[in-house]
Amino acid sequence: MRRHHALAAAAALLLAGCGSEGPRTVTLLTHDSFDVSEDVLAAFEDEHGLRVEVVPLGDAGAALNIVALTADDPGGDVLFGVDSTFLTRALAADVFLPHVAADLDAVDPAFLPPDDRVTPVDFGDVCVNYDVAWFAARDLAVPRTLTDLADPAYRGLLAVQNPATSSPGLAFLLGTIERLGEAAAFDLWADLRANDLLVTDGWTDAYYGAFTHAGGGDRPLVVSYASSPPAEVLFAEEPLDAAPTGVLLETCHRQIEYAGVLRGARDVEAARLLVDLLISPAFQADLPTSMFVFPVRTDVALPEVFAAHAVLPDRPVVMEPARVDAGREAWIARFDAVVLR
Amino acid sequence: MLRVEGLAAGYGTGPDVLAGVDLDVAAGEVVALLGPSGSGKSTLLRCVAGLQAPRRGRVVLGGADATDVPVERRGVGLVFQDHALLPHRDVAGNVGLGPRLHGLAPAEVAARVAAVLADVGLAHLADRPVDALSGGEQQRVALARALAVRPRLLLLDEPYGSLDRPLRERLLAELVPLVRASGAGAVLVTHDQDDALAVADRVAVLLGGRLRQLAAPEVCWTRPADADVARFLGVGALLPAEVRAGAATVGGDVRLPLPAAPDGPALVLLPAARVRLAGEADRAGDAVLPAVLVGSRFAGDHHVLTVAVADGVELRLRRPRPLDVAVGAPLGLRIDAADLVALPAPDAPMEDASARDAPAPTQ
Amino acid sequence: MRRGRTALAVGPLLFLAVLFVWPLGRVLALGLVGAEGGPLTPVAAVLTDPALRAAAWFTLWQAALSTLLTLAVGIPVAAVLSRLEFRGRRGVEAAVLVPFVLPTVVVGAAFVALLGALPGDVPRRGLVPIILAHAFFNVSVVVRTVGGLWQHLDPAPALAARGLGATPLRAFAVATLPRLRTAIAAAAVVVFLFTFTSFGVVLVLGGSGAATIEVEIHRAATRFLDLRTAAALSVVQLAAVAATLAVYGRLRRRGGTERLRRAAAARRPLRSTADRAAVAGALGLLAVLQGAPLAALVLRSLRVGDGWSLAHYRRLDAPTREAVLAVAPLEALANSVAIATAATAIALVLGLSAAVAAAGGARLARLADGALMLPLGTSAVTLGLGLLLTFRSGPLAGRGSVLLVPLAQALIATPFVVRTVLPVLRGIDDRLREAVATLGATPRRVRREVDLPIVSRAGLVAAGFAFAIAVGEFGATVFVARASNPTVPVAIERALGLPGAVNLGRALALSVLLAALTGLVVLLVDRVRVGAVGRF
Repeated sequence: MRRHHALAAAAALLLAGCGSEGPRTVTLLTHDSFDVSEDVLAAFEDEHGLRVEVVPLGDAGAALNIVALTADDPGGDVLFGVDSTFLTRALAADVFLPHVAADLDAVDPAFLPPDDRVTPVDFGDVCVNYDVAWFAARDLAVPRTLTDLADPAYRGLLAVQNPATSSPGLAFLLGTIERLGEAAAFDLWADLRANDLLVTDGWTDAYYGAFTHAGGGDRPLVVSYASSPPAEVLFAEEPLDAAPTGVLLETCHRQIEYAGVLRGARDVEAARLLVDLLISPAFQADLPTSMFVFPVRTDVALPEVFAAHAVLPDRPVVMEPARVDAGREAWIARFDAVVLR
Repeated sequence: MLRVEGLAAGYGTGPDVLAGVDLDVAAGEVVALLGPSGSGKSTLLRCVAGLQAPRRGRVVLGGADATDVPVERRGVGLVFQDHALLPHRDVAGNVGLGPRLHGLAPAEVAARVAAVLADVGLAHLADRPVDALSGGEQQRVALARALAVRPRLLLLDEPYGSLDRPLRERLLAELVPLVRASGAGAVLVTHDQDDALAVADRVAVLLGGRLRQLAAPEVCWTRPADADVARFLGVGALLPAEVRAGAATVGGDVRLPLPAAPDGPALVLLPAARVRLAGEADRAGDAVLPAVLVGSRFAGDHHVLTVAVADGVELRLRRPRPLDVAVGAPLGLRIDAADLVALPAPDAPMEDASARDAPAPTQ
Repeated sequence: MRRGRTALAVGPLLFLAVLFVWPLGRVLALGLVGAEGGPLTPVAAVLTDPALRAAAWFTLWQAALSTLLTLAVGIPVAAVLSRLEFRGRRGVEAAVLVPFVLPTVVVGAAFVALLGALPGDVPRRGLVPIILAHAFFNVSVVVRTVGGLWQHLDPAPALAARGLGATPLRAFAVATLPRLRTAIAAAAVVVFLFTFTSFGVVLVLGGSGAATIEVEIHRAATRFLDLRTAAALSVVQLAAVAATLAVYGRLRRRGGTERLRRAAAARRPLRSTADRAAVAGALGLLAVLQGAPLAALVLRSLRVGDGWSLAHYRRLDAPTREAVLAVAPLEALANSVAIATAATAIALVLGLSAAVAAAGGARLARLADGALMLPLGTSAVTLGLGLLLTFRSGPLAGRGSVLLVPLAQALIATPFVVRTVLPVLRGIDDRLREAVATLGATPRRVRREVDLPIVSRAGLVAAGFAFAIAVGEFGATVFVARASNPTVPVAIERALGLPGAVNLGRALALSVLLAALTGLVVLLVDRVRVGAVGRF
């Protein structure tokens, strides 16, 4: 008798888990770094009578792979966070439906992809950051280019992330190949290794662990984002006039993040509205301070802290998604062989 | 109460374990079904209980053919050696199970349980878990459980086999009045002659799947139906003999009077209980046999004398004290000619091959 | 009646076909069929890839070390528990069992908590933490397998050896060890198997360069979307597991003609200082290996900054964005309990049907019994991947989605149900049924009066274990659980992978709750067993 109660209770709980009361729910699958101001989402929900469920799926690569593995039943309506590194994989896995977002003409044409299944949302550069005070204190010239980093003067100063396990690590590796060519890039990596390079598993370990400025480590050079300096200002414990960290602009590699309506969406109509939200002025204006990336719209003003402290390379370097896709695995393996073994 | 006619049974596609058994048990009668292991005792019991379908023959219970009646409607009580009590029920729960299954109201069940437990002397243990009881108590509970359904027939399968001798004797002594009082017939399966002798109104000797003898204990032990029964019961010495005109010649030159026996080879049974030593209440007309004392052994409350009769056939005699002659001394054995039994010789056409694996006589 | 029983095997077999054979087939087909150069090319590629070969070596190596450490701790503990009688022995015996059923991710979290709290330059990730965590789990296997025999062994031969002047150690080597050898070998093989296919622990404690094949399968599938490599690795893993199981089968066939005694007869009270030292030593080993990580887990979950507080627990109800989960962690707990309850129900129905059918002995039924063991020997990650490919993509996508996680967990829990119930069912004396039949019970009523009460008690024990297994299941669940409906182990692993003290605190707090839940269930079940089922 008692067992019947237990079964009934379990069934009730299960049913409650998938109940369909209240407003229509539209589910946004994304990576763990996704963030947005509550009021932006609330306004959208009110306007369309929808509830937005945000489901983080891990880092950007994992998020896409889970969706690709479950393309027919991904458990969501929109995927946000496919970056240019993985764009071809997403297109090949055919996870998205074509969608031409409202306001697409307000997006910088430089970011428009060759395919109407994805919509660009934001971009950011992965660059070597440096600890301004550390270099000033030692009267050491800040390095400028990638090849400078192999100079014995900077021995033991650089921390990077393993491209096999870290998204910025992979972006940085791709940047070296795009800038120098594959052969020269891996020569550089061999030199960097000889110059006592530190490789961490993830960005956190490098930035908050090894970096002299943020982590109390002994590495004044670290692979991070071009938006890290304004973030340092925004989150400083005491107000700052100048950013405590700087960016080596000639080491940057640009990543563009895309979103799309999932082919396995349950509510395609709501999914289209949600993608449109992602390039709406409100969401775009919120991007810099919520996720520390830059909006793709040209008509959105940057917040003051970004305008003052963010720098962007004049001539950004972006590896073609097709080239990324062709070389990614082999390059990660080669990195492993050249740097880690 | 029970009549079994031509019952044959076996397992799977194997040979018959029971080969045509006839048996009857009257109300209030206790029949001991005696036989060595493998003789088919339990199979017979299972067929009677309805736990096994016979290949041939009939089981008649209370005058009606019960051969095809399912076990639960035969109204027999079954007690196993290992009690087979339900471990998750207490004493009263076990005993009350049958009455409940028969649809008695709770109050009636309780009354029946109380009565039966009182009968077996366990009223004070009604709410004990069964595995907190001793072996003897558990067996009493099993008996009470069987009696609680007021069976027409009680089947007891070596019920006290796992208990020590004194306890076993006490329980057997209690059993008979309970059976008599219940009015049920009872079949007690055992391989132990003492058990059979303790309780049986009649003894059924089952050897090799056949019922060889069904008779009162005195009859079985003094006039066994055949040599196998005699050996199994260990009744006495079997002497190969040649019968001619009412007399048997054993050991070459000893002649024993056997007026009723047909001519030809035979086995002459000397029932040990009837054999006297020369000098022990000799009577005129006794048959006399020469023998040799080959051993003497102290066995607690008596002595066992082993004597070799004709052709080295040995006979064990119980005497209160040892003889004052040495081993190897010649002895005279005397027996009333009427107590001699002529049995067919093994070479004679005995319709049964099972004699081959009949066990050695037990003492 | 017999035909009806055999029919009961159909359900479990069908379940297995749909949820095991087919998904596994999909993994293998996807990875191997149609590969250039024949189906074995991907396997060959895996075996020649330096990184994957390194992973295979690491898998073997850490499993061997873990097994050795587990034996080194387990055998002395088994000796003390099976030879000496002391106050609290039963409690220690029960407590040793608990770690085995703790979810792998919780154990990972416990060692993260312990090693993170130790001062100095201790290894916090990699080989050493992994083998410690493996020993933490598997000591109970050794204590159960070896101690289970040891406590019944006649101590006379060892005492005789002592009487002839042998030292205790020598007496053990000469008189006791040879009789325990098979049990020790069997325990070693089981531990090796468990640690060889370890996933949750290695994922949490591994770090770079310390990945088992199981972790590489997960990584190949989810990080590189390289199903061919994942499938090829699964093949390698299956082959290794099959070989290990073959060894185990041989050992089991060779085992036990040892004359056994009642356990109590072999135990003696503490007599000498040496006895007391032995007990203290064994308890000390357990305290260090099993007590310390759990204590560290609990203590650090209460540690906030420099003080003590329940803040991490209160934060389990936090807004979801902050938790980097689609739901609040507490909701994940409710979710887990509901899913595990459903999985338990499914596993019970399937396991009981299979056990009842197998007890009937028909060939189909025995097949079901054997077949239900297969998921145990298959890596959970491979199972999860197969289920994902079968039910979350392709024509079956979306069907029975809600039940996919409970079904996956049931797949893993069902063998335990069968193993718990079947011996009990087989052990019911037919005479019990016959006696009740003669009392007037129809066959159906006989089952209600005899089989049901006995089996339901075993079923209760089985349900407890099934629940503990389901609620802590990680390898398969991590694939099939929707991110919008995470289970607690999935949430813990996610939180452990995120930076920041808040996430660590949250992971530890969740781990404590999950550990308490599983521990409680298992201790309750252990009571039931001691109370009743154990006597059958």
